[in-house]
Order: sequence, then structure tokens, then C-alpha cells
Amino acid sequence: MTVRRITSLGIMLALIFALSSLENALPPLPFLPPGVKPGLSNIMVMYCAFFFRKREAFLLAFLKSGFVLLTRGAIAGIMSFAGGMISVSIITLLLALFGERISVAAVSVSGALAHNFGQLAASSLILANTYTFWYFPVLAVSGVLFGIVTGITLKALTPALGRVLRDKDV
Amino acid sequence: MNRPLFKKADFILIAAVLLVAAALFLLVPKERGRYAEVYVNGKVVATLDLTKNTTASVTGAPSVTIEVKDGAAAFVASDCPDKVCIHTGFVSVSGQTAVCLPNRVQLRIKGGDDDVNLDAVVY
Amino acid sequence: MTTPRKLRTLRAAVLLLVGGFVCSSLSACSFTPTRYEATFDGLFDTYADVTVYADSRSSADKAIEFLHAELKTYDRQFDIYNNYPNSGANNLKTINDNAGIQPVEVSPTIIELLTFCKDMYTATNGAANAAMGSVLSLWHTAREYSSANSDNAYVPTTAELEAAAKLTDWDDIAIDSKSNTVFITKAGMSLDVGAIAKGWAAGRAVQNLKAADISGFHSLLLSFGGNVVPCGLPPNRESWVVGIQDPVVGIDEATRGIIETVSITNEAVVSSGDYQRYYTVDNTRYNHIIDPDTLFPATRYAQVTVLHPDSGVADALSTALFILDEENGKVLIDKFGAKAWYVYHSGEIVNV
Repeated sequence: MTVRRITSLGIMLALIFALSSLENALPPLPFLPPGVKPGLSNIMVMYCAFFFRKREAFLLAFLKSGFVLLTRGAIAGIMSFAGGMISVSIITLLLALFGERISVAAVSVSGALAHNFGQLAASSLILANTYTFWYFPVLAVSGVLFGIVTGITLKALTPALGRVLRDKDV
Repeated sequence: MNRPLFKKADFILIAAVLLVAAALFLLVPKERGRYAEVYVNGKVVATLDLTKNTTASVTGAPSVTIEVKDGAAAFVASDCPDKVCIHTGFVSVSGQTAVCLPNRVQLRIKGGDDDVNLDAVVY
Repeated sequence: MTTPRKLRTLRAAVLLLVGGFVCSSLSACSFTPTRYEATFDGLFDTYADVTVYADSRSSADKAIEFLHAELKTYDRQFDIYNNYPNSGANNLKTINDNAGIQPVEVSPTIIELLTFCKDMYTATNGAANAAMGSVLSLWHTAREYSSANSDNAYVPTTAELEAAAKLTDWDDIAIDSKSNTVFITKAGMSLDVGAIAKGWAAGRAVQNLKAADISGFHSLLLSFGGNVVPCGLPPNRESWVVGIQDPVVGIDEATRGIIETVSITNEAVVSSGDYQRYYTVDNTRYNHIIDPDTLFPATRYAQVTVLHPDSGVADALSTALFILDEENGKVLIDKFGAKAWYVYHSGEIVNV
């Protein structure tokens, strides 16, 4: 692990913390169950998966849930862990299977859907029933929507991020 | 990055997901609820009649208060950090839920033709 | 690595899956009657919840209106607190007002109800007594006054209760079904059909609704102040499902759970409990179901629920069983072929 790599990861992590805190400060979005957020920190997790090593993406997701645990408590931490881990698993799986041929949007949407599903699953475990899955249709739509938004944002930010983070060629 | 933002296949994926979501959404009848079940740790502790306005704290989670008003139910007070439960607001459609995860409390609206629903309650 | 062909296969598979899903979900839409709900209040001092299955809103509304009109008629006729000069006929209050004075001509419906009450009085060995108005009104007055003036809350004296108890014999009421007159021969005696009338009225209203054969109307469930009466069955189901609410004292009324779920096809479900109407004096609760033997509220159980095809019988039995002990109660249950649930104050539930 080179110094530059550690620095880059540190910057990405800091960005994740910032994005996560920003999202949390937003008021609940209408028509969605409160607690559903755009998932802006996924932008950085995906960037890491695209341009750094897969295991580092896992590390970022893991550390993010640790941050949530420390700042927002155990339940929020568990939810972040469940959603984040499943999401990064799907993202890295897709990248391994399809490599360069899969689009940004496909990865982003899949990651967002997986994140929502993971959180529904976690809440079901906590409450000991599956009634929260009633919200699945709504979360599927928001997953697609936010997945597209974060995908577009990622593509747009890549050149700027590349200049700061400098690992692979952008 | 050489990776494209969108590809043709993406639209199929997105359409498929939206179709499934729409189908699932339409399949579930949107009936107005008759009762609100309150679960603590997965067990029903109370079944509230939605036609009777009331405010009460939850048995087994006294720091959480639920209100029934005009055929809908909502969390109105809780000691949880994020207050997601309160922000959910009033729910009234059969199947809808509001949850307070830190307190393990769940409010679920029942009614319509879902399983084990009650057509009436004698008191 | 996936090849273009594999991708095509994957695409085809997804489309097939989604297509199949959509088709199956569309076929799930069958043409069953729709469920409608209505609530009306102001009748028999309680509110009514109606669940109707009908082909259209207008059919449902016709059925609900019919039921409402029926119940309103009975409410007016069986009222012992108000007269309704506009509806022309004499009601129970008129009969009570003329106790010891003269016979009162009433509708055949009232004759039917009172005959039923008298039969139930005999059948329950006096436990369900609609002629106990003299005793009940003492408690009614005490309850009304004490609820408004809790500092001066009081309980009727044994002397006045015993005096009133002398005026509760059905033999002192002359019912003439030929001339449709009722004559309470002793002054001070009065009819109070509260324990039986709701059930009888609900049952009669539903019976008439069935006979009215409203087009587009399928079935209905009337939940009427603790009385549940079915009319037909819900579509695609074998029974209605009714919950008995837990009367456990000490927990806020609204958050009680359901202790038992019963499935009914044509039976009425009626519940009597000590938490419905009561008042408190010196931390003792006095409910509204008076034991004819002690002349004081019955305190054996917290709640009694009865199942019986005849709604009037179910109502009368729920009062009678609330007063009697389990042994005597069993005699009545067997006699009428009913089912009952007793809930004791300890929380213990007994099903007979």
C-alpha cells in the first residue's frame, strides 16, 4: 500500500463521511419512507471499485458503516452495514463478470437496488417479520432513480476526482 | 473513463425492474385499513381500532407513543435518535407500516382481504 | 467472460420472466364484489360499523340505507328516555309513563320484542329481565349524577333498591297481542330493554335486509355496539372473522389486544363487559349490568361473549351469563346451543 494510495483512500473516505452527513441533514423526501436517502456516498464506493482495488471498495463501505455507527447509533450502523455490504458485493460482482462492457448506470442502479434490498432485509431481521417488504415497489423505483442520478454524477465528476486521486488513468 | 454511461441493455434492465415494481404495487389491494397492529420485538401487543381516536404509549416500549386519528395511525413521540418513525407520519392503507427500529416497534395497518384480518371486533 | 450470445440469452430470460409475471398478475384480477364500509351513529346510544360486499357503490349504499332506516325505527320504538310525537306511534317510554294508569296501544314490533323479552326472562330464570327498569333507573340516575359530580358520587341505597325490586315481575305486565296493547299494572314499574333490544333489533334488521333482496348486494357484516350480526358470507371466503377484544382492566382501553378470533357463518356475536358503562365511587367500580338477586352490579367476570344464530338470544344470554356462575351458565348455553367465552378479571379465559 503506497502512501499515495493511502492518501487517496483517506480522501475518498472523507468524501464519503461528508456526503453521508450531508444526506442525513436533508429533510425526509416526500412519497418515500423516511430514511431512504439518495445514496450519494455510493458515488465514492463505485469510483473506488472502478479505479482502485475491489477489496478497497469493501473497506470503504465497511468504514462508512462504522462512521454511521459512531455518529448515529447502533441501529443506523446496522442498516448502513447491511445495505452497504450487499451493495458493494453486487457492484464488485458485476465488475468481475462484465468488466469494461457494463455501463456506469447499470452498476449504479444495481448497487442502489441492492442497497435498498439489504436495508429491507436488515429491518425485517430487527423487527422479526417481513412486513416492511410492503415498501419494496417504492424502493425499487427510488433505487432506479437515484441509481441513475448517482451514475450520472459519478461520470461527470470522474475527471475532477481523477486529478485529485490519481490512481488509474482517467 | 472509457466506460459508457448508458448502454442499450440498461434500458431493458431498468424497464424490467420498473415493471416488476409496478406489478407488485398493483397486485396488492389498496384498501383502507381497519386496524393498526402494534408489534414489539415481532409480537403483537395491541390491535387498535382505527375508527376510535386515541393516543397511547406502547406496552413494552413506554417511551414510544402512538396516535390514532381519523382512520390513520402514527408515531407521535419516541426517544430514538433519528425520529424516522415520527417522520413517516400517518399511515392508513392496509399493509402500510411505520417502524421505530431502535425501539423494535412496528405499526402495521390491517384490513381488506389479507390473511387473518378481522372483519369486526366485539368489545 | 460472457459473450454477446450469453447476453442475448440473459436478456431473453429476463423478458420472459417479466412477461410471465405481468400476465399472471393481470389474471389475478377477477370480478368479485367490492368491499364498502360505512359508519353511522346516534342509534341506541352507540355507533354502527357496516362492512358491505356489493357490485357497486349504489347497491352498497342502498343496503346500508335500508339497515340504517330499520335500526332507526327500532331505536325510536324501544327508546325509554324520549318520545317521538312525529313518528305518530307510542313507544316504550309511553308504556312506562302510563304504568299503573292505562294500557298503551303500540306497534306489532313492540309486542314482538316484549314477548321475546318475556320468553327470555323465563328461559334465563330471571337473569335477563327487561322489566327491571325500576332498579336500573336508580342505577342509571346514580351513574349519570356521579359521573358529572365525582365528589358526590353515590350508590343507591339498599332500601330504595329493594323497594324497586318489588316492581320487576313480568306477571304484572299485561301484553295483549290481539289489541296490540301493553299495560304495566303497577305504578313505578318500568321496562328497560337495554340488554336485549340492540341484539333483537340488529337481528331483525338483517333479516329484513335479506328479505328485501336488494340487487347488486351480496353480503354484509353489522357491528353494532358490541353486537356483530352477519348477513351472508364475504365473497370467496367461508366465514367472517371476528375478534374478541381483551377487556383486561388496567391497560388503556384503546390498546387492548385481541384475545380470541372466532369464525362465524350465520351466528351473531355479542359481548357484555364491565368496562363499557361504569362509574366509580371511592375507588370501587360500578358497572351497568345489574344482578337481579343482589340488586348490585355483577362482578363475577370482566367480559362474557356469546355466539348464537339468533342475535336477540345472543344479546340476552350475554347479559344472563354475565350475571350467573359458570355452572348455571352452562345450563343456558346447552339449552340454547350457544357458545360462550368468559374472561375473568385475572385474565383467565374459559371457552364453553
